[in-house]
Amino acid sequence: MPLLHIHILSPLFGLLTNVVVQVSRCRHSKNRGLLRSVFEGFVSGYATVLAIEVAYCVSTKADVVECVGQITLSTITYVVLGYGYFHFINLGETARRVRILRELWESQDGLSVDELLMRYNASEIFSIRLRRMINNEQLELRNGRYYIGNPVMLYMAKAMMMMKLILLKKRGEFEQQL
Amino acid sequence: MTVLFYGSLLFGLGLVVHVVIWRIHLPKRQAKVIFLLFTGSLCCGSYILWKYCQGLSILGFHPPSDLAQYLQLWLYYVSLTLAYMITYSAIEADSPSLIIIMRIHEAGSSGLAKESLEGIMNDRILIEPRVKDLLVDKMADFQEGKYRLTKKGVLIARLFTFCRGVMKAGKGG
Repeated sequence: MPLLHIHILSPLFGLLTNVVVQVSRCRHSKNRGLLRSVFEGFVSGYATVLAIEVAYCVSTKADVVECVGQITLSTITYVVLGYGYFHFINLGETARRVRILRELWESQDGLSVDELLMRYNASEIFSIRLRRMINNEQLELRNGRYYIGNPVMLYMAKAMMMMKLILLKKRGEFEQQL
Repeated sequence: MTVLFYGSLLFGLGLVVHVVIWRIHLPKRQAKVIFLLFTGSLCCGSYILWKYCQGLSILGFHPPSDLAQYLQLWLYYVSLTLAYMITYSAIEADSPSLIIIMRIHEAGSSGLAKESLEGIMNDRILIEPRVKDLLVDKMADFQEGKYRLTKKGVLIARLFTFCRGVMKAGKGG
């Protein structure tokens, strides 16, 4: 492939920058929070994508329409890759399957249901999530009662419910199909 | 714009087939079927565009004509597929955080007491289905009263342990 076409991979270079910046921010400034490191990584990665694409357009003297099309495609591809990376981090942070896998892996000879529940259970899941959502201002606790804070999570919950209805014909795992 | 158009078109077609199949019959190993379906859609679609559609024009867009454009199309399509697959894991299984949010939302302006939430969160709902998922996806097996990881399970556990370790993050969950 001619060197000229390396810019095609700009979303991958952007993702690489995103990962490096996110991990280093997460390691070196723990008290600033995971979400902030994700945001900083994402912005750095996008700057890389734009730099590569602008350098390509300037060096090849491509016409404006071609440049706009190329930058749009690379931007969308990078945003989608960044979204996937965010969800990958989120899986490690919140997914119950991943946590159960880790508990089984750390045990020497496997775990019975009771042993597993001693290490990880609904009560712990509930406490971790409430704490996390209050810290992220997604929930508010006033006079012993919980209220919706920042509504972004609510919009996500509604979107997920809509997708469940379309694909699975039910609103939740334990609801009968419509 | 050609790549964006045809990449979105192929992904959209894959998505339509996926919804139709899911409405008719829900596969047992959903993530695996989604992966096969979208991979098949990309391979067949690219082949048809390359082999038979070079004279075609849809809404003024001609199909990709060189290797560089196909490479971009594949990168775009694979990114969309991975993002969709990872989102689908939240559709397949109920997220406790989203359940909490919806219950509080349904309670309206008076909010919801902690005790009311605790009633809907128990091990039967939150833990047992996820353990069963590990068996279905062949990440663990159940013998002599104990769950043990398979090779696939060990690989995934190692991957996440490594990633969390690099970030100096805790166990999560």
